[in-house]
Amino acid sequence: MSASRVRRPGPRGWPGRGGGSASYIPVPTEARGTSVQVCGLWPWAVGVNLPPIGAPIGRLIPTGWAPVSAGVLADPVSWFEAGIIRVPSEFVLGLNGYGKSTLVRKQCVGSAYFGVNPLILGDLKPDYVAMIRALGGQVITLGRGRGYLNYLDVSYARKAAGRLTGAARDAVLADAHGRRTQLAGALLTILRHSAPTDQEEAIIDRALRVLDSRHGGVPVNRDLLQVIRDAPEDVRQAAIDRGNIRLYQQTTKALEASLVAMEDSPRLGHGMFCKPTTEHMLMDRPVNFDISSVPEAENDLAAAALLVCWSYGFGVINVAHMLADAGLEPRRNWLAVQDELWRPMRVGHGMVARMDALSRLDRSVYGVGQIRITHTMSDLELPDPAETAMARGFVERSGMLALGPLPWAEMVKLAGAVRLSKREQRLLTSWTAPGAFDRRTGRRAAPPGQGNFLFKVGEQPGIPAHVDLTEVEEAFNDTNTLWDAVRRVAPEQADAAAKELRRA
Amino acid sequence: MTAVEDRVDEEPTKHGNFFVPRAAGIGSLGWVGSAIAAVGAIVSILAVATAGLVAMLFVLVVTGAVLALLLFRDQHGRNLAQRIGNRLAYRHAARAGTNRYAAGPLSPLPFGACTLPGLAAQTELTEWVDSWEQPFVLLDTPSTGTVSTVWSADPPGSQLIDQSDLNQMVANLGGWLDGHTQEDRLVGASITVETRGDSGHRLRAAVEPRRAVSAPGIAVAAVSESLRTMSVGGSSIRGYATATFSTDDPDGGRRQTPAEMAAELASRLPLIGDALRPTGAGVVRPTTGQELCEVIRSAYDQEAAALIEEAHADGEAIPLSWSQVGPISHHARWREYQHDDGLSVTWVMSRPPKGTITASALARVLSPHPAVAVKRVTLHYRPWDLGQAAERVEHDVSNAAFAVNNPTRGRPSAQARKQLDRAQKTADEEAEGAGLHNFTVVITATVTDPKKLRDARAVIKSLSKGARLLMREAHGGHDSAFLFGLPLGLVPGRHAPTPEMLKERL
Repeated sequence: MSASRVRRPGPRGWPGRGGGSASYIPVPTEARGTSVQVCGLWPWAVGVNLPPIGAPIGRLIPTGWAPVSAGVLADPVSWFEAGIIRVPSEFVLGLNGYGKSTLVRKQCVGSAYFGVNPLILGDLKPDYVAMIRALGGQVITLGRGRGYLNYLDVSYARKAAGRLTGAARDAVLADAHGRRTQLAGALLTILRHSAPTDQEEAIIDRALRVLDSRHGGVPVNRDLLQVIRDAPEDVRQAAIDRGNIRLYQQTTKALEASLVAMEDSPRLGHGMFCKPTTEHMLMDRPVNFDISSVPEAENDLAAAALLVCWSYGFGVINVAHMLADAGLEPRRNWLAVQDELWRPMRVGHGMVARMDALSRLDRSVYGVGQIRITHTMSDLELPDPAETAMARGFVERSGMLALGPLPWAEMVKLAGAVRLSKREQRLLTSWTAPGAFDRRTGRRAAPPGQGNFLFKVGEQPGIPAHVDLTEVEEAFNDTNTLWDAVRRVAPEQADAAAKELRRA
Repeated sequence: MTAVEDRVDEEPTKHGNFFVPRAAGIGSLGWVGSAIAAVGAIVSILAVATAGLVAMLFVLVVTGAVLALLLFRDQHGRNLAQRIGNRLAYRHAARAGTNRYAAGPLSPLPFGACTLPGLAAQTELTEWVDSWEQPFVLLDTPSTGTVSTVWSADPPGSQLIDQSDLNQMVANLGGWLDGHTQEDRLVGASITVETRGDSGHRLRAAVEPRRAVSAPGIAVAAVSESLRTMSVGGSSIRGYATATFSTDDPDGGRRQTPAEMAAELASRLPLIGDALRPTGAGVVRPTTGQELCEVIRSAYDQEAAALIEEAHADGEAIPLSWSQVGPISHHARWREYQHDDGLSVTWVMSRPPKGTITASALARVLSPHPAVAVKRVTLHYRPWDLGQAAERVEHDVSNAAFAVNNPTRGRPSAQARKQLDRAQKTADEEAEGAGLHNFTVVITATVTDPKKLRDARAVIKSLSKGARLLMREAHGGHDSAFLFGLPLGLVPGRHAPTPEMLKERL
């Protein structure tokens, strides 16, 4: 064979020894059928198609005809970055005791890994203190004798405004002012169990402006009260007293009474929000506002505490974003967690609108995710239909949903906000079955649906995942223990542990 | 709300009525068989007339032997002649050493390449861009006069989808198949579903690169541990679809070159691929040359598969060319196929499911199984030209009617009547616009540890029984069957040594 001639393989392959040519071709028996019958041998019956980005949650729960195991990654910031969801927000629904906070903790830890700091805006149980401590974050404790958060404190905005110019500066100041007035109105609503009149809101607005121009430092509630009592011209105009001081005093009487009550009333924690802020939020690390000192039964105080934390937290986020836009500060990423949404909603009287206003992120903010948690859609059913619609809007406008075990009655209510297939509905309700009674230990075993969540994005089929806890995370995941008793893992120890694991 | 109140889900649609062609004749003889018997009878009479009793006996014995070779069929429907031919072909190959493949730098093959062996040795890969600006590949196989293209699919599975939606997807698959009959010069299509154990690389690749410099130590520890435990026992499922076109010029001119085919197919292929999406295939994209090389190489060499995945995890890709995708060596033994570090057994279909099936029939066969490292299930389809389909269907009806009207034992058997019903049903469906397709199934199981081969065999046997498919191992032809199981666009039906017409008459 001449070397210049290029050998080509034959129809059956390379000939000769070692050529691997096909000797016998095993032709499969062909059957015949029409397309409407042949399609019955459906090849796509089994598949695994999970978003390839996000915080590790656990394993896919095998459902359907065949068990397929795979790891599930999910968190709102990552999924938004990958374009899987339109808005970086997640709504978590599920009955108590089935592991909602465990899921959120898992997503917080995962987000911290990606450089997104968890920001727990109000920890009532507390569920997240141990975790934030373990992540080396800041825990701001609020409560009588422990710490205070002044509801009028927008010092972060003032400092930022001092560094900005032009439109940005005006925007920061306007946002801060709007926030304060909203929050004042919200606290009054909680105190009175009725909304303040629009005249009262106008008076507060003017009084605050006067306060800004007069007061050197950070004003507290008492200062606001004083301004109203002093009756300066601007405020009197808002009160429309037509020069009659008596009419002014009559108009502002209820407001004065409420402001005094804010200082003293046990319903608002004996002035927990009227004293100067004891600890300011740091922007470069995970933060937890620990309000667990609020007794569970005191819904008013809990709602007030949550709103104050939200207002503060989101205010800081917006300001940080504007500073980053101006290039004055590095871009910071947060995952804001709002737990127990039902508490402020229960107050009613326009509270839903205020909640929306206080926890709104500027449209241009990115790198900030939100997780909102409540029990069931029934929480969002309020006496006023307009409020109910607004509350449902929270769910409908969320980028993604994490649905835990839910009862059958919920399926009807969910149907309006998200499209669930019948199989998905059956799955969610099957998870609510209680655990079996173990005769040996004499206790009920954990419910089989515990830790199971269905991640739902729009109309696509949901992803059922079981939250798997690692050994490292178990240290801060026992919600039944007081946080004092939990061993704290120092960052250096954790680094060493991580190195060990990577080598393994 | 109706969505919740009516908790009863729709019924899954039933499918069946698959026809395995067998022609009529005297009893079970078929036309050729009957002809041989008739010729044998005539010759024996002539022999007795001319040469005596012994000659007649001799002729009868010879005729009997020939008929025995043709008649005695095993459970897979293969007669003695076919089985003996199989054995002989293998023995010959084993003696000649052609069942071994030695490629790579030290082989006598030119350029030190590792091209695909056997039936796919002649294939050449070229890359083009379609009218939707997507790159696609054409695999040119001159020996069969075809080019094929490949799509990748990411099936999401049917876990939480309601039966009504599933029924719709299955119907859409029927629509996709119908589209084939409308496509000019499309001679075959296939769908492959490959399952592999997940090494965890993909998961790590998704998470680790996004780690922040400022990540707290405990977050790193927790995430690392999560990734490790989540990868154990995981599996990945990938889907592929191919379409094969004939390069023969319908006007009788010379065959078209890949470039000419690409120009013609550039506008047609995106529509075929797009029509696959509503069948439940998930996201469907044309496979690029690099991706296809990775798929084929990973099929032959598990170590390479791991390296390729690891490279992806690091955000890189190991560049491959088509001449490198074959195994460096293979040994096609009678019972199994050894290629590089893998041992594969391939099954081909002998009989489709009898009776009716639902869309979940293949689910267990398609699912990953821990005993089988890599499993590939391929469905091959060959569309019938519309005119020929109508003829064929009518022919089947008249064949079946003949058997009913001319029974061997007085009354027509129940089987014969059922056969007629089924043929009639097919004719009705065809008349209503459904296309006619030949289809078959090829299943390949690959293991890396010889000790696991027995388990893998048992698993596939039981899974295919569960799917009511009768499969036979491709003894003596594992290398070719392996190729049929790959998403290469090979059309098994076109490789039959006997023309189809004759096969039906035997």
